[in-house]
Amino acid sequence: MALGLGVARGMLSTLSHLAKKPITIQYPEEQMEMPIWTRGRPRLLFEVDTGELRCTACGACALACPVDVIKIEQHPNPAGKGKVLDRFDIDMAGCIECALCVEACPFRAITMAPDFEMAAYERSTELVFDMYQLRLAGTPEVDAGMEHIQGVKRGLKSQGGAAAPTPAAAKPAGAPAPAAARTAGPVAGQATGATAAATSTSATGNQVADPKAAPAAAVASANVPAPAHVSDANPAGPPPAAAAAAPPTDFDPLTISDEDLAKLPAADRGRVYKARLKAKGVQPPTRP
Amino acid sequence: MTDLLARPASQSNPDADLGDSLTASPGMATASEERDTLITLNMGPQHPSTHGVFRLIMQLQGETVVASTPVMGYLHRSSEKLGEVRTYVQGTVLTDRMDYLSPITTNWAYAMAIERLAGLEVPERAEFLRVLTGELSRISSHLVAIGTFGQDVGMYGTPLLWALREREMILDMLALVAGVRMNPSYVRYGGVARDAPPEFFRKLQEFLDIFSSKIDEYESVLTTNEIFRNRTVGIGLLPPEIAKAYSVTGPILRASGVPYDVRLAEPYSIYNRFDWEVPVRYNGDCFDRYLVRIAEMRQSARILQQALDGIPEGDIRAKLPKVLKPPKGEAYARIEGPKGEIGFYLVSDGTVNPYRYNVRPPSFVNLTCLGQVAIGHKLADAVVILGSFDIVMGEVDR
Amino acid sequence: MEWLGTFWQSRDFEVGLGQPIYAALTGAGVPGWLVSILYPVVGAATILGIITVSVMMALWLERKGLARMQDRYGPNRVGPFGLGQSPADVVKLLSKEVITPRGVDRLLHYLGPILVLSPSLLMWAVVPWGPGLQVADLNVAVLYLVAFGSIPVLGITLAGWGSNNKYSLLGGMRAVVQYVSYEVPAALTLVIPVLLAGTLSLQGIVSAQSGPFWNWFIFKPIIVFPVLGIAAFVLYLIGGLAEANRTPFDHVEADSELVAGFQTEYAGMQWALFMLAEYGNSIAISLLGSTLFLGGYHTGLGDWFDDLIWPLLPGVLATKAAVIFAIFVWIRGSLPRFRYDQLMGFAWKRMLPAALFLISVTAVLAPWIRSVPVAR
Repeated sequence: MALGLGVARGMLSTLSHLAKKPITIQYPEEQMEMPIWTRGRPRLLFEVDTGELRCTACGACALACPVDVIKIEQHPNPAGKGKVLDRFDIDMAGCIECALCVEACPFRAITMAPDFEMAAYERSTELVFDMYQLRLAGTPEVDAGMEHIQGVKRGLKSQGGAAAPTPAAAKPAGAPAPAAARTAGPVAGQATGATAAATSTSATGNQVADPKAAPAAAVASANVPAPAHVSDANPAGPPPAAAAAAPPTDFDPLTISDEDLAKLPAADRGRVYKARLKAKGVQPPTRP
Repeated sequence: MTDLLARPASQSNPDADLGDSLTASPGMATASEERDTLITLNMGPQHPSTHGVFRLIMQLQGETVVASTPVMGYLHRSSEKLGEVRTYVQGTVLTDRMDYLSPITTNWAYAMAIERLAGLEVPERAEFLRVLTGELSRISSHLVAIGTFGQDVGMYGTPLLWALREREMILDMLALVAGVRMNPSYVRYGGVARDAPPEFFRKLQEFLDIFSSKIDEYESVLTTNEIFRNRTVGIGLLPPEIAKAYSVTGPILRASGVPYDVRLAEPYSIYNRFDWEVPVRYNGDCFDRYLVRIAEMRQSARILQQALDGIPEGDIRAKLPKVLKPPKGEAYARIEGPKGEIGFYLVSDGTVNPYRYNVRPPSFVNLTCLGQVAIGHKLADAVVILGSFDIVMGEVDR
Repeated sequence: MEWLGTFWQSRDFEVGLGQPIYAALTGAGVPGWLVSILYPVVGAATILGIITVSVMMALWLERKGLARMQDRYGPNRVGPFGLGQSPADVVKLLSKEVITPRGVDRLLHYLGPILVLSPSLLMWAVVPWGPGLQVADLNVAVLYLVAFGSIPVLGITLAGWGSNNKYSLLGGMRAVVQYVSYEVPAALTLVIPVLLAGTLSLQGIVSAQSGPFWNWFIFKPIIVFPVLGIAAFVLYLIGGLAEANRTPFDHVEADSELVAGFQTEYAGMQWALFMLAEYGNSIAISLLGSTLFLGGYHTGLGDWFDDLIWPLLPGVLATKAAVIFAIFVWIRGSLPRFRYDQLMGFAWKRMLPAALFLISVTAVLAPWIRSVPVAR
């Protein structure tokens, strides 16, 4: 019984593995295939064409958060109804990435992006991300991922209007979307299309009119996915109105008039907004 | 235990009066002349083989265990209390972190308790998705169990890494369906959180196609290996009477010859639609526990294949109010987790939070009989027995 | 000082490479006694360097081989194919603090690594790397091996006892049990090549295996008693695994039971000495296994070929030893650990009778086997 065929069988089994290719993913060089709805860091979505956050400071996400890491401050909008978001901080040191905030959001304003490399030296400062660092372009692909994370709507007014790009638009545009660097193309593209087909219920009419057919999935870019990315991937980016009157080519971001601003492509508008914020003393984060 | 702190700092031998505090545990020899012939060995809470922060105090005669006491609580996070101050949906994320090797099953037990409390119906597709992900979780938990068991027996990582290789495939599938690889919070009251993409079903079929041959691979280095059999056959005998007396459940009970499986004894979800068997072995030793786990993985693969073939289209979540406020009352739900019977007892006082959030963790209950089973075996066998019990400290201590 | 030169000359410079080197140096005017002193010193330093380098290579081979059996890559970050990993580890270990816990018996604690390392280095002294290429050609080399092979247990036991740690103590006690059990069958298997060669000198044993490969002692008895050579070799490998504390006999450290056994309380370079000794021991056992059973530095293609490539003969020995070490790695990747009482049962109830049986058969058949005419 001792040291018989069983040992020999096991040893042959291990020996056969010498000829097989290792399966380890060599992490910094190779990246795992992650679907675009991978629950990573929460991100705040902004509209691709206006550069404005969809967040209305309603606080549903902060209520839903089981670990209370979302901090929201707002004040009533003096110009009209609604609220103005002053502060939206997420303490990633405490975030458990459960996506309950995404499920709770009635305005499709928050999602989770597959970014997870957040090593830092200082927990109290470097891991607290504010509303500028958390901005993410609400491209159709990102929206489709968000819809998958949200799962089943629970009777809230979650279906976006004209402002929200339809997920169905992601299908034709999904193929030439190499910008989704970290979300390895095949899985993300294919699955996104499938989800989009499954979940797009309402706004199919917008598909034709929507000019933003070629999205730049800025998921993989750095902290602030500047709208410049959008303009790179989207030469036909300016809205139809802007195509009629040629937009000014050189302008001063601080003195530009509102009419000219409306004609600018989205990328330049984003730059103007950032420059104005900077002039007002609000420092957009420049951490790499 | 407090006299540890009272020890004068100048004392040269830090072990000198350690014995008194340790042997105060029940079953330990306390008379000094008896103790002089024994070694009190404190295994854990930091020890490579205790599967977490578990502590086992053993008195050894040579290397033979004459008394042993399990000490738990080093990973206590007061999950049950936290569950009482969170809403019902927020409580789900606590269940992820109990049995973190198979979070879906704990999610499921919690969701079932809420459904009984609030009287919710689960759509059919959601039941199928629960079975699919739940059985995948069971497989992944058993994979870790047999892999680390091989490690405890003394293999240098080979079965463990092979098992983790397949577990990676399962985690990737969970990432597709739930968004993350661990802590998915996938099973919710009234259904599941999100629908599964077609990619998931394709990957699942690929996995099922190769999985049987992978089990054969683990068995080639473990089951038929004479050294492995020498180490496990007849070790850690747990007779069915003692197993029942200690309320042991799961593969450990079934290896002792009691064909008790909640999926069969009290059918829940849609398990009665599938053609599968409950593997039972009758010797009650470490080898049988290992074999039951291997057989359960094959049975889970059978269930998965049938569920994959039969999954219908449809809703994945019942009609739910925006904020769930179950009526006053109490509910208990239990399911068969990979480690045994997971039970959730919830009491509602009509508000958004449960009034009582109580868990019956199988690892904890199974672990209580460890002290008795290990007695009379060698120190090396105590490690093997602990490995065959397949505990997860996150669930034991909660 | 002349007597010293005479002493060494009579011992080492009579055969092989020593003779021309001695002749050339004394002819160039270097005093004979200086050559006599420097020759063994340089030899010992060379051997020490070879040991260190080969231990690093063995570590690399082990980590890489185990990794590939487990579908991993193994070390692949430092240098090409991760070859720089072991030197980097050595540098790290050298720069680490040597921690001495408060409760230890300092003398025994410091003595442990030295007592473990020295004998395994000394075992290398008798390894014949080529004709005359040997630090010391003892005429009782096999007895010397048995004697020095049993000293490390003393160091391990003292290390376990002096560490004042219960895991270390249990590891030390297991070491005694294991060595006492395995010395007997392992030493008995060494008798078989001695009987076949008719000498205790390793050079003599290697010379008896010169010529084509069927002269090797693993194959030579095949005509007379087919399994004799192979069975003796397998017994030697099992005994060697136990001597070197390798899986499936690694009870002494037994990471899943005793944390790290006798070396639990050691850190930095003290721990590295244990590691060096363990791997030096494994490689020495591999080298001696090739010497005793696999024809040593002979290529097995005939003496004319050995004469043709004589500068490469140490490489031939190293290759054979690497094969044996690879078998050790393979076993480590495939087998679980015995329980230590099962280990004793295995040694006394199975290996000892088998070794005694093989010895009796060999003793009866040895003249016959030796008289088998072989090609040179």
